[in-house]
Amino acid sequence: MRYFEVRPGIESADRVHENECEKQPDDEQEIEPGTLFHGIEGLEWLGSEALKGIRYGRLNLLAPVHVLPAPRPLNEAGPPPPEPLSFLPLKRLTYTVFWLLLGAGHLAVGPAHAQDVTGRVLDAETRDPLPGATVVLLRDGAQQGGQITDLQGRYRFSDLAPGIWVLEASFVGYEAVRDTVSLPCAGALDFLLPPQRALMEELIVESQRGDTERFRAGLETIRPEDLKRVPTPGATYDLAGYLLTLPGVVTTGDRGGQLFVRGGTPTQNLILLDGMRIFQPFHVVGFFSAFPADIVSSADVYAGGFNARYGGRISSVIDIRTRNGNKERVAGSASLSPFLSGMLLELPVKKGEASLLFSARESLIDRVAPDLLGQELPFRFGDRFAKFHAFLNQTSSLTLTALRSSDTGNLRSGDEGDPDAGIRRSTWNNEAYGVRYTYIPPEAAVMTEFSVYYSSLDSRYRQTEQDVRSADVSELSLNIGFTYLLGPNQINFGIHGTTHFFDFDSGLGRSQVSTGVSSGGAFFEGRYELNQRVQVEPGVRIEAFSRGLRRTVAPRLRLTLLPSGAGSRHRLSLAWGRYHQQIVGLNNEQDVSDVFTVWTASPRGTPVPMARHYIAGWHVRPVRGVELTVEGYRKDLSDLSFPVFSDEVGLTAEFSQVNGRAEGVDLKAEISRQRLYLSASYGYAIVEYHRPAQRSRAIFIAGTGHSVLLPDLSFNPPHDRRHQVGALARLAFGRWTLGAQWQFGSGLPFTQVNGYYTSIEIDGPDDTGYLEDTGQTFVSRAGAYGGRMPIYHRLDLTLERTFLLRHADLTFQAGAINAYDRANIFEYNVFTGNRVDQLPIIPSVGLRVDMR
Amino acid sequence: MKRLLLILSFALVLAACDNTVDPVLEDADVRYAVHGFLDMRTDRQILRIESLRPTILAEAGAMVGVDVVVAEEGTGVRHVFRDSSATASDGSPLTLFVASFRPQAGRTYRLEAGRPGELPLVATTRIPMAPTLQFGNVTGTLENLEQVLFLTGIEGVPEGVTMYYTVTPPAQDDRVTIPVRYGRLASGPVSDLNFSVSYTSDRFVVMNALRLNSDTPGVRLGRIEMSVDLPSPEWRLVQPGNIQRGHGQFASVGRYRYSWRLDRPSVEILGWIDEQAGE
Repeated sequence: MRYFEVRPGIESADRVHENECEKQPDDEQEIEPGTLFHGIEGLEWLGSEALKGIRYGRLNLLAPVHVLPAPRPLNEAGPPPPEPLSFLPLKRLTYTVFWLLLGAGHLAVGPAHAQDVTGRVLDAETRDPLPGATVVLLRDGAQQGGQITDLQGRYRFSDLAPGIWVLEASFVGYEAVRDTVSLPCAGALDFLLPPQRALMEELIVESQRGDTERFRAGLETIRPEDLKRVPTPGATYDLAGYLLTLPGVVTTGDRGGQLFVRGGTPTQNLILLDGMRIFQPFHVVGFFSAFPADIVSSADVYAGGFNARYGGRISSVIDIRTRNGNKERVAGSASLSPFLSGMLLELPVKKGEASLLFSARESLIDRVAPDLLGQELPFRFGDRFAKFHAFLNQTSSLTLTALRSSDTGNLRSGDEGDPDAGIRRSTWNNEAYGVRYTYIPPEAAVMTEFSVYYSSLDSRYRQTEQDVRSADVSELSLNIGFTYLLGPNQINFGIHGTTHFFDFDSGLGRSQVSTGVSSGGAFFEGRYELNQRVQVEPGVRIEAFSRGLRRTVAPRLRLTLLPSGAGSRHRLSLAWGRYHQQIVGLNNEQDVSDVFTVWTASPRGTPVPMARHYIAGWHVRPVRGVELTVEGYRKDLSDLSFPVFSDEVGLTAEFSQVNGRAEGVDLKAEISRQRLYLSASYGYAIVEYHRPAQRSRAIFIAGTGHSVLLPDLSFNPPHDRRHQVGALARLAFGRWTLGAQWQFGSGLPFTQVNGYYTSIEIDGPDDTGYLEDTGQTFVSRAGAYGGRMPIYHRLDLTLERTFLLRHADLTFQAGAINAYDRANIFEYNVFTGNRVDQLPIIPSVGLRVDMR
Repeated sequence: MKRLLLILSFALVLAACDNTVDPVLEDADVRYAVHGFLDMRTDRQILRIESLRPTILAEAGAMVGVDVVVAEEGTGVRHVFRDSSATASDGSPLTLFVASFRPQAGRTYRLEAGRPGELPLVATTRIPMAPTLQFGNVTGTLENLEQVLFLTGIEGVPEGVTMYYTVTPPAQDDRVTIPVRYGRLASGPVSDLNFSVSYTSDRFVVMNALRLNSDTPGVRLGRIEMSVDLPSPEWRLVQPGNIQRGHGQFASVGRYRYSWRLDRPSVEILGWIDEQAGE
């Protein structure tokens, strides 16, 4: 099938949809209010509320259009039925090219008398799509089928016979809506679900996650309700907490906020918030990020194999879309807890057309920990987020987004008596601002988006009072994106221009670097349904740079197989791609607890880091409410920069070029019942780097190290976690909800030492002073990363109770982080023997108020 | 199967309870650091050897029971070093190992340091062979009298080239030898080298050392010599790689001395009296 369904206004969803057979499509068709574009993957970047712009407007479609025709009796006279595809001359050549690119010829239209019913399930207040909502199909009181909406809230029932059909849509937190359609003719039906004011019994409803849209190799789509399943202290849920439950994600624990995704390093992760690149968004306390659950509409986490629209990173993508503020009424929430307190406010600036959403959070743990826990927890962090969204007219919308986050903390405390222990401090601040304008031309079936983003990261590390290192990076980006709608198939392409500025100061007057690099590029990606069983997504990304760096061409491919068609219980997905990273983040990867990162353009004269991803996944729903996912992957990495430390203790690192591979398998099982949610995951991974024989070199700190000859070496880098187990449970009983999360990870590699010695420099054959010289202390390192840190495991518990008041819902939460007080190691200084553990058992309480 | 599962579960529980970090590799093969060189210029060889410390702040471990031996490959001659306590400039204790022998040109020496029963630190060095010296003609006048010398078959970089002038000051009977350092003649390894000896400049240095004016008559030239120090390659490599199971620096230096006779007319141009042997 390849068409756009067109239907009258979605606001009249409580009537029988019929008597619309008189409308006949023509070449330049006028679209009635409520017209719905169907099968548009790009709606998430268009903004879900763009639909509203379409609702009230008139659109002339130039793309192939097929309005669901009324079946005509065979003996009826009249004009011949319309062609299912129509093109306007001006665009014909363009579309011809597109169709050729997609292998045109897949033009079949469905059976003459059978018909599809499609539509979307949306939030009645915000018009946000509701992925994961249930749509049940009934006839004569008997259920005939059921669907779970995809990322854009879409559903589809195929090949329905003429007659009266009843559809019912439901979703957690919303009132169910039932509607009726009369076939033929009324082939599309949208549901607007009003948010539920009363707490439903089924706080945890059965959730099917296995639809085609939500299972793709390497991709995990996260919804707000997923985030709320993870026990997090203080009744404030966060994206970071959920990411830690994914089997392929390795973390440094609850300090530092570093994520290693399937063998990649934190600086190889692309993190986007409404398209804005955020450099270091995870807070210093690891289970919080700059993305509270309250602002998240959905998030796509690509552990690999990501599409051509994403570039500049070689490991993973976390693409977060925020929701719009309520355009109908004032709404808000607030949470108070010793860990992190925050508030969220939604204001309709112009009712129904413009809204403002503002969120602010601030940690209190450093101020209350000494009294509450009897120990110092020197971490302070917070974030601010604001989003303005407005429909400018019937076909365009404007979004302004701003994010600021700040973190400071002493991650690397020293020995007792170390005079610098209290001075040592890591600080980083993110700022990001974005403007996005989306436009649907009235005469073309193409969605266009213009956006400008600015993002910056200021990073500081104070080693001593005098030794303060700084590294700043900022990015200004202009993007133009297009999505061509070709029925279930689509083409996305875009161009971008980006300028990066880097400032680095290694402290103590050693080295200062200020530089910049500009780049431009384009991507092209298509999505093509060969048939109901096979979907192909080819793509390519091209980038060119202003200095030193070579042009890169990165092809991508994804294949999704449904052995039994749309309703298949088994789904297979394959992904492959080549990825480049021209802007690299360099840090002391010898120690995973080091968060100070210097961003710079990939050094001149060295190849740009590159990766190839291969992913194969299988998803099955053996019985209702149970889902199993198995995914194998391999990442071939080349030309990574990896630090080389001198044997002299404390000498600044130089760098080497290494190649590597990361491969493994992730398993995940989920059970969703009305009151119970259980998930268990296991990840097995091997990350291995290979360093060919070479000379070490300073990249941007000239003269601080000694170039040494490095022998050929293979080793497992410090984020090579072989085994990772996660278990998550959430049980509702009455108005109480119990949450538990257990994490287990095998030990991370580190380099043991043979010991320390005094190194003496003998100036020459006539030097005799060496016999009494005090020399410098050097370290004798054992085999690279041959040792393993202790196993990591931890249990977090929360218990919640919600009270329904007249104007608000009150949720009390009590919990315990690290419930059995496991002393998980965060950092171990092999030089001094000083050990820093992760958070001990910390009881927490929290109060959350949600305005009605 | 049950037993296997039980064992696996037990092992997992044990591993999960273990919470210690072992920063120092047990049974490490690397235990010592050595600093020193074998010196062909002397009969007393000294090496500074210490055992690795388990922490950065610990003092150097005792070297009691550590055997240090240098064996001459080819001949099998073994030179046993004895330990000697010393102190560093900051007063901290250290251990020097001393042996009495003079290494021979072109020979390879193998150092072993360790306690009985453990794999020792092993380091090797070879004394560079003596290069061949050939002479060019002496040219010039008093202002620029010089002679080109040719060194061939050099192994490494001639580190210290020194001219020695043995002279007798006027109205005295005792000879004195005045060194004139030429320093390093090449920046990198060479096999052949030619360089000029400037007798005019050297005369100025010698007369200055004798506290005489350069035109003072009556100075008698007894002998001209030149020495060349040839450090082994380990000196110039950041990572010489000649030490196994250990760290530090272990090298050697060869010293070769040449003498020749400066022809009488040239001696007279310098204003000196020729008393060189062999006339």
